[in-house]
Amino acid sequence: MEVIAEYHLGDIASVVGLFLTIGGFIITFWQIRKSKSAAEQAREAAEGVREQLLKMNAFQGLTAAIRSFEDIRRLHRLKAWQVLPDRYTWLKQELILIKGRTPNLSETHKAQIQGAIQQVSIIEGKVEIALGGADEPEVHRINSVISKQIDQLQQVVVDVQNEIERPRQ
Amino acid sequence: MAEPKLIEIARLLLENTATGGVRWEKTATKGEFQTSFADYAIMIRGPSSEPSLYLSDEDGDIVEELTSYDVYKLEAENLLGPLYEAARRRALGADEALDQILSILRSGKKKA
Repeated sequence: MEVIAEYHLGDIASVVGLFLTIGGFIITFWQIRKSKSAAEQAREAAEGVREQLLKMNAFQGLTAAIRSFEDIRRLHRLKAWQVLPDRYTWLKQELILIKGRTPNLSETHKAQIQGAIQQVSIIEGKVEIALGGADEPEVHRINSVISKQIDQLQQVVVDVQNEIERPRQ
Repeated sequence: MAEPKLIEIARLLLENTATGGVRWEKTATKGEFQTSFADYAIMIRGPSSEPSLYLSDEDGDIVEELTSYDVYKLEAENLLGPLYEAARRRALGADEALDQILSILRSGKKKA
């Protein structure tokens, strides 16, 4: 005990203990940060996968919408007015879903899809009026509009496909 | 009362159409042109002497309408006519056609 008192070993032990405590605290803090960072990275990776899946859904949805536009264009040529209202309804719902669910869709792409929805609504109105006994719509006029929508949606498909292949970092 | 807001929209559309910031396209209705936004679309329907402006929602249903009569009431009768003409020219590419033809003719004149 005298030796301890003589050489102030108690004070040294306290100082060493303090440093050990601080060191332990730093290591614990670093480990917490590391595990938090790993959790964040895992969350970001999961979010990235979710976004990719939604974009792939959008790609499939847009491709299906283009096929539907082509189908509608053929039915217009055949003047199969009776079967068309259901096709218009499906197409509009599909486009609204794509617009609402696709992440990072640009305002331009959203506007193009909204424009397509509006064009379908206008044609739908004309066909419904014709089914009520009024004059049939002019096929060349409505199909010219349909063809333009197909071209514009095709560009959106290409852009979405590019984003799937080269996702943003 | 939505008319003042619609008139403001029409004024801004006219300005933005003139600068090329707004894209118009023809619809399946003769004499009608539309421009679209993320959740809405705007149509303008002729004739140019008495055009009307329509605002439609995401489902394509018309939610607001501004007729020439509404505009006349608010002493802004010179708004929809010029907007209709600007939209028509943009949708049909009239200016591009004129510019291209002028360019060809001018270059031919230079060569002669």
